Amino acid sequence: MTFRERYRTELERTVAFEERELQTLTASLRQKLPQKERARLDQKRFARTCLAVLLLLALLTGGAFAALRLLAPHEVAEKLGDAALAAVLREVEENTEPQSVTDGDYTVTLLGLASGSNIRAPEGSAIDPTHSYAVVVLGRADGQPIRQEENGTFLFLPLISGYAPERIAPFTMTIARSAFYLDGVCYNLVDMIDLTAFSDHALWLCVLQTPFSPADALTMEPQSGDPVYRDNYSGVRALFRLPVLSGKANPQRAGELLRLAGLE
Amino acid sequence: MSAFVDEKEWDALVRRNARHMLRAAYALLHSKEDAQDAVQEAFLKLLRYQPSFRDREHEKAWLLRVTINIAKNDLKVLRRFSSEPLPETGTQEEPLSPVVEAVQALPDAYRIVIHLYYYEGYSLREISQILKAPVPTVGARLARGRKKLAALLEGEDLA
Repeated sequence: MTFRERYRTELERTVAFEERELQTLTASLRQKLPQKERARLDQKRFARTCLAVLLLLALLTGGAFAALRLLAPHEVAEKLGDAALAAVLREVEENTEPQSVTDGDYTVTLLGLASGSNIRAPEGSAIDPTHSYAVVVLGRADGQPIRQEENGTFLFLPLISGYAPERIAPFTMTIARSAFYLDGVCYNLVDMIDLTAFSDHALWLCVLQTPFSPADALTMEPQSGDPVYRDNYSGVRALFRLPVLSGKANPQRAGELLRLAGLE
Repeated sequence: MSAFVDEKEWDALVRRNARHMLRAAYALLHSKEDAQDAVQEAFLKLLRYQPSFRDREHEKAWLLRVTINIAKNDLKVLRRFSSEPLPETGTQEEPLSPVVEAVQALPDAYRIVIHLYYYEGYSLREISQILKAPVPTVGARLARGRKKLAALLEGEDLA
């Protein structure tokens, strides 16, 4: 018997996922289908009935949230126990200013961004030069503490000019996301594909509040290639134009990523 | 929710992919419960993104990639917030066989490559597409993983 056959046979025998477990998983996932339809209706109802409240909250923009002293990007990485990334972010943050957008109930702040191929990772660090890292803070615009379950409703997605979000989402989407709560806001460390390779395109980081496909929230304008929100999208609209990354564009690497995604 | 309104179609998709995803997640997480959570999350991402697939192999590769990314992230979080060392083996009732135990003892980066190569039968190029890593990197990880496995299994032929 070859090693492959032994490994397959023994893995299936000792780590068996029983039919019962599969049935439970299938039944649990089946329930998500109607929930989606319900959530869609909830979104529409929310948009209709809460418009007045949203306008009022918009007037409070910047109130309590602005008074809060946010952590620096390197402090976020430190709190998440990633000293190597903290060192990298400390270098980057000297040249970047945080950007904030307040929309509806929330204020979204892009604190910092570092791209793997554009940084000198300390020797022995776990930083992946094929990734980009963004630090994003979510807070409630009225200054009330954000709840843990609220953070989970947000989607972080890099956008590349000219590529429809639903087409590139499967490969540009967040590779990993770590979060913690402090002083009523939620700090997110978002680990994405390396955006430096695409720096000859316009790039954005968008923060959406949609339980469905990003295509439900926005699309790319055919002429300019820039993102535009759909009229019926009622979630948070936070779109950050990313600065031109000082690392050179790498069309070969970009092409490779697009080919891997089946787009070219 | 256009693509998966048909419950039968959705169930069939879950059933044809779940075991592959569960075993890939288990290879990283060493826990059946954590693997099930990762797989559930991967299917929810499928519902959210609704990517279009060329064929079932493309569908399986996408789901494996997402599952592995989620499991890697879970692993990172578990290690970051756990004061206790992670268990080396799962919670299954049956003890692991020496072969499975040896694979589980490999470093994360080697373990997942070894799993995809030997269990799923993927080529280096296919693994590089799933892991979004260059082919030479995957090849090096496979070679080093094999070397470590051979040492752990006292010279077993891994061809």
